[in-house]
Amino acid sequence: MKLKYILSLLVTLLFVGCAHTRVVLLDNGKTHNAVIVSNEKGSQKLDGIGKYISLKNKTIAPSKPQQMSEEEISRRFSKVLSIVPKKAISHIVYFEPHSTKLTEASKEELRKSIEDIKISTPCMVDIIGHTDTVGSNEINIKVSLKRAKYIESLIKKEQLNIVSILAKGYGEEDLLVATPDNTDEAKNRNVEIFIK
Amino acid sequence: MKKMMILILLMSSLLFSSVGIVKTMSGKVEVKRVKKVISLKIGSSLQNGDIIMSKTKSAIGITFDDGTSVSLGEKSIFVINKFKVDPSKKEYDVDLDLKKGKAVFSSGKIGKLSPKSVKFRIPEGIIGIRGTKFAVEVK
Repeated sequence: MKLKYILSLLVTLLFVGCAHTRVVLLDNGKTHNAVIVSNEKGSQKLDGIGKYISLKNKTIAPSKPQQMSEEEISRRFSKVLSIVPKKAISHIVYFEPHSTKLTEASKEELRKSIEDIKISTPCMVDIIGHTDTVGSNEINIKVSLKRAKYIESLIKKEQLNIVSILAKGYGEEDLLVATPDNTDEAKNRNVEIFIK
Repeated sequence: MKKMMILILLMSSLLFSSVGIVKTMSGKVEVKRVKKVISLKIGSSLQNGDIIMSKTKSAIGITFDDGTSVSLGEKSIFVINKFKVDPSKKEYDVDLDLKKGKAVFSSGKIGKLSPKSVKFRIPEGIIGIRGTKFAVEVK
């Protein structure tokens, strides 16, 4: 029993003494969170917050995952963690059918998105237009781009410190709510304002 | 000949278009781009091929096109081999390389759309993501 303890202590000391690369999984605020670390000798999955592996070089397989304490994460990474940029923000505004007219509730949402741009500058803004699946995709791409360009013009009027602003029309691609073709779905007639 | 020139211009604008910007920074951080070394500041654009180098007591936070962020600690070297996230064409290819130092990676839209398209290289291997935030220290 005593011998075992000494051995494990030795192993720990050796480990601490070596220069290793370490990969630690952090909390991303979502339930789905994992990384796979691999090299030519093997691979390991990290799927719990604070789990880490160490790698000595590419001819030795990654170590088995271990747990890193919050104190150690903070000691090793506090400076990098303190400089992590704010998360990107998405706002979604909705339109009346076949038009570039915003719904009443969405006018308020647009105002909120302009406030968010102000606190995020300098930033990049993507304005991504979508339609529902009524009508041909060809026309819908045009309609979605028209919606995006309209929102772009309203944001540009504010003259904010935006590094790049890009309006795109996705038409029926990448829908918010998946529907069959020719479905009148109000939630799909939207423009996403993606502030990053 | 004229067509050729336009094609070259188009190609270069595709190759050298912005893939992200500097959002946060402290101290001195430089980028090696083609053969030039440029000092970065908050709001600077970053491109494919950029090699980012942070000095002593310096740090930087980068936000990419899809909202992915990579933050670097002091004395780090980080290469943007490729960053492409285009949901309309379903084209996803993210290839990053931490040569030295410390980094925190937090995935943006790609974490949901195509996490398997992300390669985060380290000298001893490669990190693949499944919708993720992680920290890495390369000694």
